[in-house]
Amino acid sequence: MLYKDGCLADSVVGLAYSSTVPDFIRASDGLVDYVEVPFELLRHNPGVFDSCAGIPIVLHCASLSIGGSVRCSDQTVSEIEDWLHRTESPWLGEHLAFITAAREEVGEILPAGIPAEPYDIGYTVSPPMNRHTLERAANNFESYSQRLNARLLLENSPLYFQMPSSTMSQSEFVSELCQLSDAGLLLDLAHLYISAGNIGFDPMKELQRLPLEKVLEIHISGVDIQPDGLWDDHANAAPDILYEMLERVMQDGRSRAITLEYNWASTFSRTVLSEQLEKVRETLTRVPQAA
Amino acid sequence: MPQAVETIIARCLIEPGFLGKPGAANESLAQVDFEPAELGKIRRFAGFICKVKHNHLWGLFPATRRLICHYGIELDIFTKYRLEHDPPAFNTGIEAVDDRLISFINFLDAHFSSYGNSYPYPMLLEVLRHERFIWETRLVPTSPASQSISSDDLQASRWIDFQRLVVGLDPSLRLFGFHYDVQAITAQLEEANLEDEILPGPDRALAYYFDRHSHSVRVVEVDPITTQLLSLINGKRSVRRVIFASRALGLGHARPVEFREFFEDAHRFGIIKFLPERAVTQFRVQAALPERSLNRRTIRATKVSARKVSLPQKRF
Repeated sequence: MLYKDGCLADSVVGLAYSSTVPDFIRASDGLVDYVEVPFELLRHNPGVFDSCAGIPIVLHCASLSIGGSVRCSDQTVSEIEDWLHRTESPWLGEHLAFITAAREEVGEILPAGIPAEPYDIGYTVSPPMNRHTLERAANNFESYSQRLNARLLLENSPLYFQMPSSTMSQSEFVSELCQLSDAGLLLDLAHLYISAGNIGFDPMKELQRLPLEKVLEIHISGVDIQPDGLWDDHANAAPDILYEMLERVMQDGRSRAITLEYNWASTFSRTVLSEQLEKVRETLTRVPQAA
Repeated sequence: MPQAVETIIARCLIEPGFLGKPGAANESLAQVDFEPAELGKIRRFAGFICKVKHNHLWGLFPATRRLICHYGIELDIFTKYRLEHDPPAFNTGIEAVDDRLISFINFLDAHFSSYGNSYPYPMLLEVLRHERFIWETRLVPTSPASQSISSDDLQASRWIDFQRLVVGLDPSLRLFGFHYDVQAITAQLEEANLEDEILPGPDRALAYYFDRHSHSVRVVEVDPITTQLLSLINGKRSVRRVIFASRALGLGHARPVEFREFFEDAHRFGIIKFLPERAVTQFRVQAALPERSLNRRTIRATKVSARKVSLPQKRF
């Protein structure tokens, strides 16, 4: 994967890690260019790194809580930095979200006057989208970028409900964040489609409102359609509209990394995985190529 | 106030007790101008997070997962589980996986069972138990084989000596009765070829045991007479006493050679073992087995005796 000065020489296609993915990639005869591995998995199971030997790794992360008020611990940031070096990942993809929240914000103080440990949700949640969060996210982004000395891409989170105290749309929030900072974007098309269905907007129009020139990586995965809403689903194939969205994004001729996220079920069909890879490759043949 | 929003949402997502009390949650949410009607969406989101945290489970219970997905009730189940339970070590790492698995599987079993006959997907409970027995059987520690009598010695033994042997069950063996053909259902799910309507078939009993030769779990269908014979084996009775007890239960006309064939086949497949003296192995009765009248034509397991093995003659 040729990555230099914030750009890719050509578009590349990767898979999110699951236990069967490294062997699948090795057997795919060049169909897959890289594997995306979560930092949290490497932290708990460093053997995953060895299992990916010979395959370029892109590091993903859900620990920095860029959109939150509680800073990630120095220990965790150091470990992320260490894995960035070990994997030689060209960038770090992180969620534009919060994963921890301070208890003292609602008056939870221990008897000794010490703030209680933050709530740890264990899952990324889209923050309230307003000026206050925007400034905080921009500050966090700059701080972590410098500390890690790495290119950070921020991923749009799926919206499952209207977050209280939000005063702007996600596209407005993301656009302004890109103006306030040097953030690159990891555009998750499934998340955008889910948000559109749950909040009520047109995903294709919303795409055009995003600073697509900042998008360096794209995620594609399934969508679980329930009577009361749409949900992220990495265990089923993406709906066709995601490929229409992909084609729209890629019309500008920029090179990007496109990651298929089918990593929730180790039993995910290899046939379906191959079909999905083929759909990505077909889409790429229909769009202008990088100069 | 924005930080308080995050805190309240975080608390709703990770404290099931808080989330389960609409009054308390609504009061906090009202502080941040959150529509009370949205509380249901936060509950679903908590269930969704719980579902994602249990992705590892599906490698071990793939048919159960596929069936739950097939009926579109996956998120409903995880939302109910999240509201009623605080999964063990929910926010910690991989080391807590087994605890989480056991907690969730116990919940699923109780959830499916609680409906009794009124549950619209009755086969789910049986498929879950089928996969659970396979998983549990794999975890049963294997005992040293040296205590058991070899197949060679067994076949060479005189009938009078054979009858004196104490017979015990393999510690990994479990028997369970089913109303549905769970093996066919799991095969159809694996091939993404599930029948539109799943109907109960004839009652059947399956035996689960760990095959030390292949280091894998074997599942065989056993007939009612085999089931009855196995139920009489407890690691204390001799072959003679097992035969005596089975004759008293309706096998009075079976010939000794038929009993011997059953014992030798079951031993060869690793379901039972013979001991020179009493052991402590107990038969695990998982649930009531389907009731059937005894069929005297055969005393052998349907699949246990599927093939014969020629053993050298040897006396001991």
